[in-house]
Amino acid sequence: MDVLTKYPYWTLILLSVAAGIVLVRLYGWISSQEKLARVKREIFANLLEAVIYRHNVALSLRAQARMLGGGAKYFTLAAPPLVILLVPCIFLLGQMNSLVGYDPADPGKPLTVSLNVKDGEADIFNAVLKVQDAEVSPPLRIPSEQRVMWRVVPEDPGAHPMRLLLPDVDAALAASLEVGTRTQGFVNYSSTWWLYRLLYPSSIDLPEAVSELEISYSEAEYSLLGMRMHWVVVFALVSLLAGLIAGKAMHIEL
Amino acid sequence: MVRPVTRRRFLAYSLGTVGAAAVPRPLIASSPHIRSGKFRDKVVVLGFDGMDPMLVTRMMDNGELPNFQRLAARGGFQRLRTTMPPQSPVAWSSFITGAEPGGHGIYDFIHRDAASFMPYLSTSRSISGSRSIEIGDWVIPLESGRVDLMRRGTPFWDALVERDIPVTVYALPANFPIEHRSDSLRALSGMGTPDLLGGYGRYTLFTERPLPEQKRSGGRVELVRVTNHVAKGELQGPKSPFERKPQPISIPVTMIRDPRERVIKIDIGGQVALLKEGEWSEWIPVSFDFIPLLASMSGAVRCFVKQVHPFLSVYISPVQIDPMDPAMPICNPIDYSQELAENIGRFYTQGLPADTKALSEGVLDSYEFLRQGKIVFAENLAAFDYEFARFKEGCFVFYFSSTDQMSHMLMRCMDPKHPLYEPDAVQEVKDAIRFFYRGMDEVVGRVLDRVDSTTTVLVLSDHGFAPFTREINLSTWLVQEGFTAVTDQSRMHEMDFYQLVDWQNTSAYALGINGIYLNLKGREKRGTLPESEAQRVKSEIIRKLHDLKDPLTGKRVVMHAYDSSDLYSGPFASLAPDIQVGYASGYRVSDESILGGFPAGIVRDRKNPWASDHCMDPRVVPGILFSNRTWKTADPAIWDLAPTILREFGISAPRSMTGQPLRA
Repeated sequence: MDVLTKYPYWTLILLSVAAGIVLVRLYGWISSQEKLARVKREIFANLLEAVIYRHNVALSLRAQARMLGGGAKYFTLAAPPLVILLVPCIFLLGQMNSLVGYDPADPGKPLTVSLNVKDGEADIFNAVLKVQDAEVSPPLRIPSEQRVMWRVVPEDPGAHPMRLLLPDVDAALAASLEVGTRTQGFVNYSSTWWLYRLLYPSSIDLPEAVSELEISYSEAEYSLLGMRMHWVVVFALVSLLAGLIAGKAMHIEL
Repeated sequence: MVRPVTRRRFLAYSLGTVGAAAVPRPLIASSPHIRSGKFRDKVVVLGFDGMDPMLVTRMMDNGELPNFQRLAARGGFQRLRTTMPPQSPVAWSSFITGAEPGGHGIYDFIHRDAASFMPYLSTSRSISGSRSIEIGDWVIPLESGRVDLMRRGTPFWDALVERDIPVTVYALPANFPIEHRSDSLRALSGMGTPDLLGGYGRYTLFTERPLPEQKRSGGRVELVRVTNHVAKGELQGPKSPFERKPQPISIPVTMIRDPRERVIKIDIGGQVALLKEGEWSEWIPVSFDFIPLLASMSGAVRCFVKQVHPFLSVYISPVQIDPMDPAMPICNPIDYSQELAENIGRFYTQGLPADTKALSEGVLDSYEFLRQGKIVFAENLAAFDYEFARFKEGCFVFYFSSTDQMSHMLMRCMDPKHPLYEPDAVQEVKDAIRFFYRGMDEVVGRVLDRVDSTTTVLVLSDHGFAPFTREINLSTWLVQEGFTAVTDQSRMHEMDFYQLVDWQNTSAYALGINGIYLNLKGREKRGTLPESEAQRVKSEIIRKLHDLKDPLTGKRVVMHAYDSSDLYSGPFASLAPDIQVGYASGYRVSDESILGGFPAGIVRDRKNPWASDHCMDPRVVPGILFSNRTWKTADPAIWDLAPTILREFGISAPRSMTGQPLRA
């Protein structure tokens, strides 16, 4: 796991290829391969008919209408398995986002740490954040949003553990500020919201009084074919390519 | 979020890839530079704008500039003759082209179009696309506008890149827009590069408490109301080219301060910075959408929190052209600024980065201005280190603006005799100029530590500096002497830009910092002076200028007024003002006079913190020339350096260069 965290680019490529192959394999299992193959053959046959009899308008139009019908049938066959595959995809993308979606901070560069405090749980005016070996600004408190923010400037590379002091609470946050390099505990966001916990089951626990933690790492960009792009675009392109190749190799109708 | 790939960047990648695949290997091998490895010689040029020889000498004598001393000991230190007028765009154009102003056509920061009488910034002109379709309030341009470089003559690097000699030219003045040359040239534009709004930089100040009433040309002061510690404002961007009556595109700015602590969160179009009072932010990228998702312009700003409590006051820098996605041609190759920004972070792209107007107009104080100046210098140093580390051969030219801009505003703070000395300023402000000079010494040291004996090192400034304590209202003087006529002298002091001028009876007018133009019939839009009278009027003005005395001191205000026909020759000599005024040390034209204002009085005290200058007679403000070579030329001029650089590479100067190579 640590190796995966340290080399995000190759992690992204590896996971994209693996995801492409696995998703195609799953698609092969949960879709009606025979029906798909038949519909595709019909569409192709109608396409040929439309081309061959292009001088016969009536025949060509009928073939095109059947192609349209075939397309609709293909969609009804392909959509349900795709919707099913969306569920693991969302989980996968969520996990990948925390793994490869953000860059660690640069030494000496400021980050914002933002906490939302639960209603009535704590007096945000006395909230204090301590970060090991980093300069922390006084808090910026927004009572109307139950939010406290700090600007943190970590000087040295490495993990900088954080501690939060609220009235009657002294909680060591499970998160550290990651500077210069990633470690396994790279966290840019965490929330107590049930849907978030469902999507990110392995995300860190927050102290009782805190509902949300956000650290403003910058979004990571990756280079593919000489162009820099968001990791989701890289994922989509690479997994699509891997899926197409895998589909051919495993004789799966897509 | 997918990072937008600009059309230019996409084309560059595509063409680069296809080109690399398509070029046959023998062709690559036949490039003379790659084939023979012949050009092993190197030339390093450091340009320190406005570095003054007298102060340098004094600091060297005190042992404060050890690397300058080291360089002088290896070769020599001379005063460098500068152009008339000794203004940066003029002098650096002469450095670039190896010609006096008649050879490059730049005579001032401001020129005027004789036919239309429209003034413009001398080194570049924007030309809008002429063809468009109008649909209601919308305009669809069918042709893109362009920016033209007005500096004529041939830059010395043309001869180098033609021979595949690598050249780096960093931030030289009078070099915007950057014209695409060979990929052997790495160039970033300097002084003359506008902000994203197209001007020389407009700040924004959000303030809860009104500032004293003052005419402000350098930016916008927006009064904000703070409710529950939240204030909202707008950052103005460029005008949309898609509207018939273009309005500036704005993005929202939200400022939330802590109820007790001196901390504030600034949100500009979704980009957030959290700052303490007295802090500068990092660069904040901003995007101005003309048509959402279809057409936008990228910029970047820095914020400075002047005060959080009791009254909120936040300064936003002029919107810079974003080097990550430049909206104008600021570099060559086209992705050079992006490469730099990716390696050293975003940086000021505006040609005159330090916000002198903000200090002049009371928006920043001297200390705050100095802090900004140090940020600019740190960015320049980072760029220098990056570029110099990759410099292996060819010609390396690197320019620093800090010595000039800081001297204009803060040199007064190092001289207790200066009328605008600030006795209560912190020591850091009083030591500011020494700080920057020592910083340049450090740069010289980094160069000397790395260069070998085959490398020629030239360190130059385009002019020196002198106090600017008394200002002359040249335009008002011309009225007083009867050369400029006005319809109502009682109201002329309130007017700008030649309002109330009676052109029928005007024989000469002042425009720019040093220039006087005759109102010549057939040349000027409303010219009335016959050619036959021109010489007489010119001589009379020059004679009277020589007689002009400061009523306070009895000293001459003008050291020498030059007849341009004696001063300039060359293909662009006709563009020059008819008379160039060489002010005596301590004097310069007033700001209002530059663009046709007629302030009261002729000579008066300078009140603006911009209280040191160089737009005087060139003999008052020579530049510096240090080199690790000993030059026998006794009185080198700035236009001699281009042919000298070419000679170091064994190349003869083109005929357009009138300068002579320095004798070794």
